[in-house]
Amino acid sequence: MLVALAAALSACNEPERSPPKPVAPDLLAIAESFEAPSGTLARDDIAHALSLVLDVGGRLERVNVGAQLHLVMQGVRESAGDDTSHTESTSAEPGLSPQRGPDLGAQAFGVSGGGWLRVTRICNGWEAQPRPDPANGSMNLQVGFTEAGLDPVIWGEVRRCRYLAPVGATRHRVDLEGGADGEALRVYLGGPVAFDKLGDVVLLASLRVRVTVDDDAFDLDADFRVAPTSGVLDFLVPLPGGPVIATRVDSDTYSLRASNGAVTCVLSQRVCSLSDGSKAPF
Amino acid sequence: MTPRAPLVVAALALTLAPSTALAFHTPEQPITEDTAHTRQKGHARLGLLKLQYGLFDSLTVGTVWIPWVLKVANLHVKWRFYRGDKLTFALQVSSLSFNTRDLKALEDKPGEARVSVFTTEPLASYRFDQRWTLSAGLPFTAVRLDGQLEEGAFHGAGAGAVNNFQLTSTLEYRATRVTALVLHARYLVVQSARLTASATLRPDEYTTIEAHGSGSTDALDFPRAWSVVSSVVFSWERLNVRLGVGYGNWSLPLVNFVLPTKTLIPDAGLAWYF
Repeated sequence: MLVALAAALSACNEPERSPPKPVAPDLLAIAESFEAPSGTLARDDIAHALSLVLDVGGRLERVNVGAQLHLVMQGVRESAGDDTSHTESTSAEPGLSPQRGPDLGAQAFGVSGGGWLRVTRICNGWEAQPRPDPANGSMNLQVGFTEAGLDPVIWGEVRRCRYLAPVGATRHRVDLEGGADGEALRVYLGGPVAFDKLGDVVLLASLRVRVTVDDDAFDLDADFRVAPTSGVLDFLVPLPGGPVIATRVDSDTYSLRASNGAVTCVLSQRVCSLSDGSKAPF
Repeated sequence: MTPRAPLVVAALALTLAPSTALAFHTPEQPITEDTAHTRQKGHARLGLLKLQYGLFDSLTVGTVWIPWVLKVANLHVKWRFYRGDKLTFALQVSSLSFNTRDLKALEDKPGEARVSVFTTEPLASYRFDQRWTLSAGLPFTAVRLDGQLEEGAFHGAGAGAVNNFQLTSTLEYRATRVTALVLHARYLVVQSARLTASATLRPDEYTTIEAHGSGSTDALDFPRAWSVVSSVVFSWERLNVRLGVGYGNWSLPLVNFVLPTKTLIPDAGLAWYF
Protein backbone atom coordinates (compact mmCIF):
# COMPACT_ATOMS: atom_id res chain seq x y z
CA MET A 1 0.00 0.00 0.00
CA LEU A 2 2.81 2.39 0.89
CA VAL A 3 4.61 1.64 -2.33
CA ALA A 4 1.42 2.18 -4.33
CA LEU A 5 0.78 5.48 -2.63
CA ALA A 6 4.32 6.67 -3.19
CA ALA A 7 4.15 5.61 -6.82
CA ALA A 8 0.88 7.45 -7.32
CA LEU A 9 2.29 10.62 -5.85
CA SER A 10 5.40 10.30 -7.92
CA ALA A 11 3.33 9.93 -11.07
CA CYS A 12 1.58 13.19 -10.28
CA ASN A 13 4.95 14.87 -10.53
CA GLU A 14 5.66 14.10 -14.16
CA PRO A 15 5.15 17.22 -16.29
CA GLU A 16 2.72 17.03 -19.14
CA ARG A 17 4.36 15.91 -22.30
CA SER A 18 4.80 18.14 -25.30
CA PRO A 19 3.39 16.96 -28.59
CA PRO A 20 5.54 14.07 -29.78
CA LYS A 21 8.64 15.00 -31.66
CA PRO A 22 8.15 14.34 -35.39
CA VAL A 23 10.39 11.78 -37.00
CA ALA A 24 12.76 13.34 -39.50
CA PRO A 25 13.19 11.88 -42.97
CA ASP A 26 16.41 10.08 -43.78
CA LEU A 27 18.64 12.03 -46.14
CA LEU A 28 21.80 10.00 -45.65
CA ALA A 29 21.56 8.37 -49.07
CA ILE A 30 21.44 11.77 -50.77
CA ALA A 31 24.28 13.03 -48.59
CA GLU A 32 26.38 10.02 -49.55
CA SER A 33 25.69 10.73 -53.21
CA PHE A 34 27.23 14.16 -52.82
CA GLU A 35 30.26 12.78 -51.03
CA ALA A 36 30.78 9.89 -53.41
CA PRO A 37 28.51 9.95 -56.47
CA SER A 38 27.74 6.45 -57.64
CA GLY A 39 27.01 7.37 -61.26
CA THR A 40 29.53 6.80 -64.00
CA LEU A 41 30.08 9.21 -66.84
CA ALA A 42 31.15 7.74 -70.14
CA ARG A 43 32.48 9.93 -72.91
CA ASP A 44 29.32 9.22 -74.95
CA ASP A 45 27.07 10.26 -72.05
CA ILE A 46 28.50 13.72 -71.65
CA ALA A 47 26.15 15.48 -74.04
CA HIS A 48 23.07 13.95 -72.41
CA ALA A 49 24.44 14.68 -68.95
CA LEU A 50 25.11 18.29 -69.85
CA SER A 51 21.58 18.77 -71.11
CA LEU A 52 20.28 17.56 -67.74
CA VAL A 53 22.77 19.76 -65.92
CA LEU A 54 21.60 22.84 -67.78
CA ASP A 55 17.97 21.90 -67.22
CA VAL A 56 18.26 21.35 -63.45
CA GLY A 57 20.75 24.16 -62.96
CA GLY A 58 18.60 26.55 -64.92
CA ARG A 59 15.53 25.74 -62.90
CA LEU A 60 17.36 26.18 -59.61
CA GLU A 61 18.71 29.50 -60.77
CA ARG A 62 15.29 30.70 -61.86
CA VAL A 63 13.69 30.06 -58.47
CA ASN A 64 16.66 31.47 -56.52
CA VAL A 65 15.88 28.93 -53.82
CA GLY A 66 19.20 29.35 -52.01
CA ALA A 67 18.23 32.83 -50.86
CA GLN A 68 14.87 31.60 -49.60
CA LEU A 69 16.58 28.85 -47.62
CA HIS A 70 18.85 31.37 -45.97
CA LEU A 71 15.85 33.44 -44.90
CA VAL A 72 14.25 30.44 -43.22
CA MET A 73 17.48 29.43 -41.51
CA GLN A 74 17.84 32.98 -40.23
CA GLY A 75 14.49 32.54 -38.49
CA VAL A 76 15.67 29.30 -36.91
CA ARG A 77 18.82 30.99 -35.63
CA GLU A 78 16.79 33.79 -34.16
CA SER A 79 14.71 31.31 -32.20
CA ALA A 80 17.83 30.60 -30.18
CA GLY A 81 17.75 34.09 -28.75
CA ASP A 82 19.86 36.00 -31.24
CA ASP A 83 16.90 38.31 -31.80
CA THR A 84 15.93 41.19 -29.61
CA SER A 85 12.49 39.94 -28.59
CA HIS A 86 12.17 39.64 -24.85
CA THR A 87 10.75 36.53 -23.27
CA GLU A 88 10.09 35.36 -19.77
CA SER A 89 9.89 31.93 -18.27
CA THR A 90 8.31 30.39 -15.22
CA SER A 91 10.66 27.51 -15.77
CA ALA A 92 11.82 25.50 -12.81
CA GLU A 93 14.77 24.50 -14.91
CA PRO A 94 16.87 27.31 -16.32
CA GLY A 95 18.37 25.27 -19.11
CA LEU A 96 15.08 25.31 -20.95
CA SER A 97 14.31 28.94 -20.42
CA PRO A 98 12.57 30.20 -23.55
CA GLN A 99 14.58 33.40 -23.10
CA ARG A 100 17.47 31.58 -24.68
CA GLY A 101 15.23 29.47 -26.84
CA PRO A 102 16.19 25.84 -26.96
CA ASP A 103 19.90 26.54 -26.70
CA LEU A 104 20.42 23.79 -24.19
CA GLY A 105 24.13 23.46 -24.48
CA ALA A 106 25.12 26.82 -23.04
CA GLN A 107 24.62 26.00 -19.38
CA ALA A 108 27.35 25.48 -16.85
CA PHE A 109 25.53 22.55 -15.31
CA GLY A 110 24.39 19.29 -16.84
CA VAL A 111 21.28 19.51 -18.96
CA SER A 112 19.75 16.77 -21.02
CA GLY A 113 16.67 17.05 -23.11
CA GLY A 114 15.37 18.22 -26.42
CA GLY A 115 12.35 19.17 -28.41
CA TRP A 116 11.30 20.52 -31.73
CA LEU A 117 10.33 23.72 -33.45
CA ARG A 118 7.74 24.41 -36.10
CA VAL A 119 9.09 27.35 -38.05
CA THR A 120 6.70 29.22 -40.35
CA ARG A 121 8.32 31.76 -42.61
CA ILE A 122 5.94 33.99 -44.61
CA CYS A 123 7.28 34.52 -48.10
CA ASN A 124 8.15 37.99 -49.35
CA GLY A 125 5.48 38.21 -52.02
CA TRP A 126 5.53 39.75 -55.45
CA GLU A 127 5.49 43.39 -54.48
CA ALA A 128 8.64 45.45 -54.90
CA GLN A 129 8.69 45.94 -51.15
CA PRO A 130 8.36 42.61 -49.28
CA ARG A 131 5.37 42.41 -46.94
CA PRO A 132 4.66 39.83 -44.21
CA ASP A 133 1.27 38.98 -45.69
CA PRO A 134 0.06 35.40 -45.12
CA ALA A 135 -1.44 35.58 -48.61
CA ASN A 136 2.14 35.41 -49.89
CA GLY A 137 2.34 31.81 -48.75
CA SER A 138 4.92 30.30 -46.48
CA MET A 139 7.58 27.72 -45.86
CA ASN A 140 6.76 25.57 -42.83
CA LEU A 141 9.62 23.58 -41.38
CA GLN A 142 10.06 21.09 -38.58
CA VAL A 143 13.30 21.49 -36.65
CA GLY A 144 14.35 19.03 -33.98
CA PHE A 145 16.92 19.83 -31.33
CA THR A 146 18.72 18.33 -28.37
CA GLU A 147 21.27 19.71 -25.94
CA ALA A 148 23.83 19.04 -28.70
CA GLY A 149 22.11 21.55 -30.97
CA LEU A 150 19.92 21.23 -34.03
CA ASP A 151 19.11 17.79 -35.31
CA PRO A 152 20.74 16.99 -38.66
CA VAL A 153 17.56 17.14 -40.73
CA ILE A 154 15.11 20.03 -41.15
CA TRP A 155 12.06 19.38 -43.28
CA GLY A 156 8.62 20.63 -44.12
CA GLU A 157 6.18 21.95 -46.66
CA VAL A 158 5.92 24.87 -49.01
CA ARG A 159 2.52 26.56 -49.29
CA ARG A 160 2.02 28.87 -52.28
CA CYS A 161 5.27 30.60 -51.48
CA ARG A 162 5.47 33.74 -53.61
CA TYR A 163 8.53 35.91 -54.00
CA LEU A 164 10.56 37.77 -56.58
CA ALA A 165 13.65 36.04 -57.94
CA PRO A 166 16.30 38.15 -59.62
CA VAL A 167 17.76 36.59 -62.72
CA GLY A 168 20.14 39.05 -64.26
CA ALA A 169 18.51 42.46 -64.25
CA THR A 170 15.01 41.03 -64.24
CA ARG A 171 12.93 40.05 -61.23
CA HIS A 172 10.62 37.14 -61.90
CA ARG A 173 7.49 36.18 -60.03
CA VAL A 174 8.02 32.79 -58.44
CA ASP A 175 5.33 30.61 -56.90
CA LEU A 176 6.37 27.40 -55.12
CA GLU A 177 3.81 24.81 -54.13
CA GLY A 178 4.77 21.64 -52.31
CA GLY A 179 2.83 18.83 -50.75
CA ALA A 180 2.04 18.53 -47.06
CA ASP A 181 3.80 15.19 -46.74
CA GLY A 182 7.06 16.73 -45.55
CA GLU A 183 8.75 15.90 -48.83
CA ALA A 184 8.57 19.37 -50.35
CA LEU A 185 11.64 20.72 -48.61
CA ARG A 186 14.22 18.70 -46.73
CA VAL A 187 17.53 20.05 -45.49
CA TYR A 188 20.47 18.04 -44.19
CA LEU A 189 22.97 19.86 -41.99
CA GLY A 190 25.59 17.12 -41.95
CA GLY A 191 25.15 16.39 -38.24
CA PRO A 192 24.02 18.11 -35.05
CA VAL A 193 24.71 21.83 -35.32
CA ALA A 194 24.75 24.44 -32.58
CA PHE A 195 22.15 27.14 -33.16
CA ASP A 196 24.73 29.87 -33.46
CA LYS A 197 26.66 27.83 -36.03
CA LEU A 198 23.73 27.32 -38.36
CA GLY A 199 24.89 30.17 -40.56
CA ASP A 200 28.28 28.52 -41.04
CA VAL A 201 27.30 25.14 -42.43
CA VAL A 202 26.65 23.98 -45.96
CA LEU A 203 22.97 23.10 -46.40
CA LEU A 204 22.12 20.04 -48.42
CA ALA A 205 18.57 20.58 -49.63
CA SER A 206 16.10 18.34 -51.38
CA LEU A 207 13.24 20.19 -53.07
CA ARG A 208 10.08 18.62 -54.54
CA VAL A 209 7.77 21.42 -55.60
CA ARG A 210 5.59 22.70 -58.38
CA VAL A 211 7.06 25.95 -59.62
CA THR A 212 5.54 28.79 -61.57
CA VAL A 213 7.96 31.45 -62.78
CA ASP A 214 5.93 34.23 -64.32
CA ASP A 215 3.63 32.15 -66.55
CA ASP A 216 5.90 29.15 -66.96
CA ALA A 217 4.99 26.18 -64.76
CA PHE A 218 7.19 23.14 -64.17
CA ASP A 219 8.04 20.57 -61.53
CA LEU A 220 11.29 20.94 -59.67
CA ASP A 221 12.71 17.78 -58.17
CA ALA A 222 16.24 18.64 -57.19
CA ASP A 223 18.88 17.83 -54.61
CA PHE A 224 21.44 20.57 -54.16
CA ARG A 225 23.86 22.15 -51.71
CA VAL A 226 23.82 25.77 -50.64
CA ALA A 227 26.88 27.58 -49.32
CA PRO A 228 26.57 29.48 -46.03
CA THR A 229 26.86 32.90 -47.66
CA SER A 230 26.28 32.41 -51.36
CA GLY A 231 23.92 30.47 -53.58
CA VAL A 232 23.80 26.93 -54.87
CA LEU A 233 27.16 25.17 -54.69
CA ASP A 234 26.36 22.04 -56.61
CA PHE A 235 23.46 19.79 -57.43
CA LEU A 236 22.71 16.19 -58.16
CA VAL A 237 22.05 15.09 -61.73
CA PRO A 238 20.25 11.76 -62.08
CA LEU A 239 21.72 9.69 -64.88
CA PRO A 240 20.73 6.15 -65.90
CA GLY A 241 23.98 4.85 -64.45
CA GLY A 242 23.48 6.66 -61.13
CA PRO A 243 23.70 10.23 -59.90
CA VAL A 244 26.59 12.54 -60.63
CA ILE A 245 27.27 15.93 -59.05
CA ALA A 246 27.34 19.11 -61.10
CA THR A 247 28.97 22.38 -60.06
CA ARG A 248 28.45 25.67 -61.80
CA VAL A 249 31.94 27.16 -61.97
CA ASP A 250 30.80 30.28 -63.81
CA SER A 251 28.11 31.22 -66.28
CA ASP A 252 29.96 29.36 -69.04
CA THR A 253 31.55 26.46 -67.17
CA TYR A 254 30.24 23.40 -65.33
CA SER A 255 32.13 20.57 -63.72
CA LEU A 256 30.76 17.08 -63.17
CA ARG A 257 31.88 14.57 -60.54
CA ALA A 258 31.21 10.90 -61.13
CA SER A 259 32.48 7.68 -59.63
CA ASN A 260 34.88 7.26 -62.51
CA GLY A 261 36.33 10.77 -62.53
CA ALA A 262 35.57 14.44 -63.12
CA VAL A 263 34.74 16.44 -66.20
CA THR A 264 34.86 20.17 -66.79
CA CYS A 265 32.86 21.55 -69.66
CA VAL A 266 32.97 24.99 -71.30
CA LEU A 267 29.61 25.65 -72.90
CA SER A 268 30.73 28.31 -75.37
CA GLN A 269 33.51 26.04 -76.70
CA ARG A 270 31.30 22.91 -76.60
CA VAL A 271 34.18 20.88 -75.22
CA CYS A 272 34.82 19.05 -71.97
CA SER A 273 38.12 18.24 -70.30
CA LEU A 274 38.28 14.82 -68.69
CA SER A 275 40.32 13.98 -65.60
CA ASP A 276 42.73 11.91 -67.73
CA GLY A 277 43.61 15.05 -69.67
CA SER A 278 41.71 14.19 -72.81
CA LYS A 279 39.13 16.42 -74.49
CA ALA A 280 35.60 15.45 -75.42
CA PRO A 281 33.55 17.68 -77.71
CA PHE A 282 29.79 17.63 -77.34
CA MET B 1 -11.00 25.25 1.80
CA THR B 2 -11.15 28.98 2.49
CA PRO B 3 -8.46 30.88 4.40
CA ARG B 4 -10.78 30.90 7.41
CA ALA B 5 -10.90 27.15 7.59
CA PRO B 6 -7.91 26.75 9.95
CA LEU B 7 -9.55 29.12 12.39
CA VAL B 8 -12.71 27.04 12.30
CA VAL B 9 -10.67 23.91 12.94
CA ALA B 10 -8.87 25.66 15.79
CA ALA B 11 -12.17 26.69 17.36
CA LEU B 12 -13.39 23.14 17.04
CA ALA B 13 -10.22 21.86 18.67
CA LEU B 14 -10.66 24.27 21.57
CA THR B 15 -14.25 23.14 22.06
CA LEU B 16 -13.21 19.52 22.19
CA ALA B 17 -10.15 20.14 24.34
CA PRO B 18 -9.78 17.96 27.42
CA SER B 19 -8.59 19.60 30.61
CA THR B 20 -5.57 17.46 31.43
CA ALA B 21 -1.98 18.57 30.95
CA LEU B 22 -1.16 17.85 27.35
CA ALA B 23 2.30 19.13 26.67
CA PHE B 24 4.62 17.56 29.23
CA HIS B 25 7.17 15.09 27.93
CA THR B 26 5.56 11.85 29.00
CA PRO B 27 5.44 8.41 27.40
CA GLU B 28 1.88 9.18 26.35
CA GLN B 29 2.87 12.47 24.77
CA PRO B 30 5.95 11.98 22.65
CA ILE B 31 7.36 14.63 20.38
CA THR B 32 5.61 14.28 17.04
CA GLU B 33 7.81 16.54 14.95
CA ASP B 34 9.98 14.42 12.62
CA THR B 35 9.03 11.24 14.46
CA ALA B 36 6.60 8.38 13.84
CA HIS B 37 4.42 9.44 16.74
CA THR B 38 0.98 10.98 16.42
CA ARG B 39 -1.20 13.15 18.59
CA GLN B 40 -3.74 11.48 20.83
CA LYS B 41 -7.34 11.40 19.71
CA GLY B 42 -9.05 14.74 20.34
CA HIS B 43 -5.83 16.54 21.15
CA ALA B 44 -4.93 19.68 19.24
CA ARG B 45 -1.78 21.65 18.79
CA LEU B 46 -1.93 25.27 17.69
CA GLY B 47 1.48 26.64 16.87
CA LEU B 48 2.68 29.89 15.43
CA LEU B 49 2.94 28.12 12.11
CA LYS B 50 1.25 24.77 12.38
CA LEU B 51 -2.14 23.48 13.46
CA GLN B 52 -2.59 19.78 14.20
CA TYR B 53 -5.42 17.65 15.51
CA GLY B 54 -5.61 14.01 16.49
CA LEU B 55 -8.60 12.51 14.69
CA PHE B 56 -7.71 9.12 16.14
CA ASP B 57 -4.83 7.99 18.30
CA SER B 58 -3.19 6.74 15.13
CA LEU B 59 -4.17 9.55 12.78
CA THR B 60 -3.16 13.19 12.96
CA VAL B 61 -4.19 15.85 10.49
CA GLY B 62 -2.71 19.28 10.27
CA THR B 63 -1.91 22.31 8.24
CA VAL B 64 0.62 25.11 8.24
CA TRP B 65 -1.90 27.86 8.66
CA ILE B 66 -0.06 31.10 7.89
CA PRO B 67 0.28 30.36 4.14
CA TRP B 68 -3.51 30.18 3.91
CA VAL B 69 -3.51 33.97 4.17
CA LEU B 70 -1.93 33.92 0.69
CA LYS B 71 -4.30 31.18 -0.49
CA VAL B 72 -1.56 28.61 -0.24
CA ALA B 73 -3.61 25.55 0.57
CA ASN B 74 -1.79 22.83 2.43
CA LEU B 75 -2.65 19.77 4.47
CA HIS B 76 -0.73 16.95 6.05
CA VAL B 77 -1.85 13.62 7.42
CA LYS B 78 0.22 11.25 9.53
CA TRP B 79 -0.93 7.69 9.94
CA ARG B 80 0.77 5.62 12.61
CA PHE B 81 0.18 2.15 11.31
CA TYR B 82 2.28 0.22 13.84
CA ARG B 83 3.15 0.82 17.46
CA GLY B 84 5.08 -1.69 19.50
CA ASP B 85 6.75 -1.40 22.86
CA LYS B 86 9.78 0.25 21.37
CA LEU B 87 9.26 0.51 17.66
CA THR B 88 6.73 2.74 15.88
CA PHE B 89 6.09 3.18 12.18
CA ALA B 90 4.10 5.87 10.43
CA LEU B 91 3.51 7.40 7.05
CA GLN B 92 3.08 11.12 6.61
CA VAL B 93 1.63 12.53 3.44
CA SER B 94 1.39 16.24 2.78
CA SER B 95 0.16 18.34 -0.06
CA LEU B 96 0.42 22.00 -0.95
CA SER B 97 -1.00 23.92 -3.86
CA PHE B 98 -1.20 27.55 -4.89
CA ASN B 99 -1.32 29.82 -7.89
CA THR B 100 1.45 32.36 -8.25
CA ARG B 101 -1.09 35.04 -9.18
CA ASP B 102 -2.19 34.95 -5.53
CA LEU B 103 1.28 36.09 -4.48
CA LYS B 104 0.81 39.65 -5.70
CA ALA B 105 1.41 40.87 -2.18
CA LEU B 106 4.94 39.49 -2.43
CA GLU B 107 5.74 40.03 -6.08
CA ASP B 108 4.67 42.66 -8.63
CA LYS B 109 4.54 40.21 -11.52
CA PRO B 110 3.96 36.82 -9.98
CA GLY B 111 2.85 35.29 -13.27
CA GLU B 112 0.20 32.65 -13.67
CA ALA B 113 1.48 29.29 -12.59
CA ARG B 114 0.02 26.50 -10.51
CA VAL B 115 2.49 25.04 -8.04
CA SER B 116 1.70 21.71 -6.44
CA VAL B 117 3.79 19.91 -3.86
CA PHE B 118 3.33 16.33 -2.71
CA THR B 119 5.43 14.78 0.01
CA THR B 120 5.33 11.24 1.24
CA GLU B 121 7.49 10.32 4.20
CA PRO B 122 7.75 6.93 5.87
CA LEU B 123 8.84 7.38 9.48
CA ALA B 124 10.19 5.07 12.11
CA SER B 125 10.89 5.73 15.79
CA TYR B 126 12.73 3.50 18.21
CA ARG B 127 12.48 4.19 21.92
CA PHE B 128 15.56 2.86 23.69
CA ASP B 129 14.27 3.80 27.13
CA GLN B 130 12.37 6.57 28.88
CA ARG B 131 14.95 9.12 27.84
CA TRP B 132 16.33 8.17 24.46
CA THR B 133 14.39 7.90 21.19
CA LEU B 134 15.82 7.68 17.70
CA SER B 135 13.67 8.43 14.66
CA ALA B 136 14.33 8.23 10.94
CA GLY B 137 12.42 9.46 7.91
CA LEU B 138 12.61 9.12 4.16
CA PRO B 139 10.78 12.15 2.75
CA PHE B 140 10.20 12.12 -0.99
CA THR B 141 8.93 15.43 -2.31
CA ALA B 142 7.59 16.11 -5.75
CA VAL B 143 7.02 19.70 -6.83
CA ARG B 144 5.13 20.36 -10.00
CA LEU B 145 4.69 23.65 -11.80
CA ASP B 146 2.26 24.41 -14.62
CA GLY B 147 2.57 27.92 -15.95
CA GLN B 148 1.28 30.28 -18.57
CA LEU B 149 3.79 32.73 -19.89
CA GLU B 150 2.98 35.94 -21.62
CA GLU B 151 5.12 38.97 -22.15
CA GLY B 152 5.74 41.02 -25.25
CA ALA B 153 6.10 38.85 -28.31
CA PHE B 154 6.24 35.67 -26.31
CA HIS B 155 3.38 33.41 -25.44
CA GLY B 156 3.76 29.98 -24.01
CA ALA B 157 3.22 27.47 -21.31
CA GLY B 158 5.56 25.48 -19.16
CA ALA B 159 5.41 22.55 -16.83
CA GLY B 160 8.24 21.83 -14.46
CA ALA B 161 8.93 19.31 -11.78
CA VAL B 162 11.47 19.06 -9.02
CA ASN B 163 11.99 15.77 -7.25
CA ASN B 164 13.67 15.59 -3.91
CA PHE B 165 14.57 12.65 -1.73
CA GLN B 166 16.14 13.03 1.70
CA LEU B 167 17.16 10.99 4.69
CA THR B 168 16.39 12.39 8.11
CA SER B 169 17.31 11.30 11.56
CA THR B 170 16.17 12.69 14.90
CA LEU B 171 17.70 11.84 18.25
CA GLU B 172 15.68 12.86 21.29
CA TYR B 173 16.86 12.96 24.87
CA ARG B 174 14.34 13.71 27.59
CA ALA B 175 16.16 15.34 30.43
CA THR B 176 13.01 16.06 32.44
CA ARG B 177 9.32 16.07 31.73
CA VAL B 178 9.74 19.72 30.77
CA THR B 179 13.02 19.69 28.88
CA ALA B 180 14.07 17.59 25.94
CA LEU B 181 17.09 17.86 23.69
CA VAL B 182 16.67 17.10 20.02
CA LEU B 183 19.33 16.61 17.40
CA HIS B 184 17.93 16.57 13.88
CA ALA B 185 20.01 15.70 10.83
CA ARG B 186 19.13 15.72 7.12
CA TYR B 187 20.94 14.42 4.09
CA LEU B 188 19.92 15.15 0.52
CA VAL B 189 20.06 11.97 -1.53
CA VAL B 190 18.93 13.50 -4.80
CA GLN B 191 17.22 16.62 -6.06
CA SER B 192 16.50 16.85 -9.77
CA ALA B 193 14.46 19.07 -12.05
CA ARG B 194 12.56 18.44 -15.23
CA LEU B 195 10.66 20.81 -17.45
CA THR B 196 8.29 20.51 -20.33
CA ALA B 197 7.55 23.76 -22.11
CA SER B 198 5.77 25.03 -25.16
CA ALA B 199 6.14 28.50 -26.51
CA THR B 200 5.41 30.59 -29.57
CA LEU B 201 7.97 33.15 -30.64
CA ARG B 202 7.85 35.89 -33.26
CA PRO B 203 11.49 36.80 -33.94
CA ASP B 204 10.36 39.00 -36.84
CA GLU B 205 7.21 39.86 -38.76
CA TYR B 206 7.73 37.05 -41.22
CA THR B 207 8.62 34.24 -38.85
CA THR B 208 6.59 32.37 -36.29
CA ILE B 209 8.23 29.63 -34.26
CA GLU B 210 6.25 27.16 -32.21
CA ALA B 211 8.65 25.48 -29.80
CA HIS B 212 8.12 22.33 -27.78
CA GLY B 213 10.80 21.10 -25.46
CA SER B 214 11.52 19.01 -22.44
CA GLY B 215 14.62 18.41 -20.45
CA SER B 216 16.13 17.64 -17.12
CA THR B 217 19.08 19.02 -15.24
CA ASP B 218 21.28 18.19 -12.33
CA ALA B 219 21.66 21.89 -11.56
CA LEU B 220 19.60 21.50 -8.40
CA ASP B 221 21.37 18.41 -7.15
CA PHE B 222 23.84 19.59 -4.59
CA PRO B 223 26.33 16.88 -3.68
CA ARG B 224 26.90 16.33 0.00
CA ALA B 225 24.04 18.61 1.05
CA TRP B 226 23.28 18.06 4.70
CA SER B 227 22.18 19.87 7.81
CA VAL B 228 22.27 19.31 11.55
CA VAL B 229 20.06 21.24 13.96
CA SER B 230 20.24 21.01 17.71
CA SER B 231 17.21 22.17 19.66
CA VAL B 232 15.82 22.35 23.13
CA VAL B 233 12.13 21.62 23.51
CA PHE B 234 10.42 22.90 26.63
CA SER B 235 6.99 21.52 27.32
CA TRP B 236 4.85 22.74 30.13
CA GLU B 237 1.24 21.99 30.91
CA ARG B 238 -0.13 23.45 27.69
CA LEU B 239 2.76 25.32 26.19
CA ASN B 240 5.54 24.02 24.04
CA VAL B 241 8.59 26.09 23.15
CA ARG B 242 11.26 24.95 20.78
CA LEU B 243 14.56 26.78 20.32
CA GLY B 244 17.58 25.70 18.43
CA VAL B 245 20.22 26.43 15.89
CA GLY B 246 21.99 24.38 13.32
CA TYR B 247 24.18 24.51 10.27
CA GLY B 248 24.06 23.14 6.76
CA ASN B 249 21.90 23.22 3.66
CA TRP B 250 18.54 24.42 4.79
CA SER B 251 15.57 22.39 3.62
CA LEU B 252 12.76 24.85 3.12
CA PRO B 253 9.68 23.85 5.09
CA LEU B 254 6.57 22.78 3.17
CA VAL B 255 8.37 22.22 -0.12
CA ASN B 256 11.43 20.40 1.27
CA PHE B 257 13.57 22.20 -1.28
CA VAL B 258 17.22 22.09 -0.24
CA LEU B 259 19.18 25.30 -0.67
CA PRO B 260 22.57 25.16 -2.35
CA THR B 261 24.67 26.92 0.26
CA LYS B 262 25.31 26.02 3.85
CA THR B 263 24.16 28.57 6.40
CA LEU B 264 23.18 28.84 10.03
CA ILE B 265 19.72 27.38 10.48
CA PRO B 266 17.49 28.80 13.19
CA ASP B 267 14.86 26.63 14.79
CA ALA B 268 12.07 28.19 16.81
CA GLY B 269 8.54 27.21 17.63
CA LEU B 270 5.76 28.06 19.98
CA ALA B 271 2.63 25.98 20.36
CA TRP B 272 -0.35 25.56 22.62
CA TYR B 273 -1.86 22.19 23.35
CA PHE B 274 -5.57 21.66 23.87
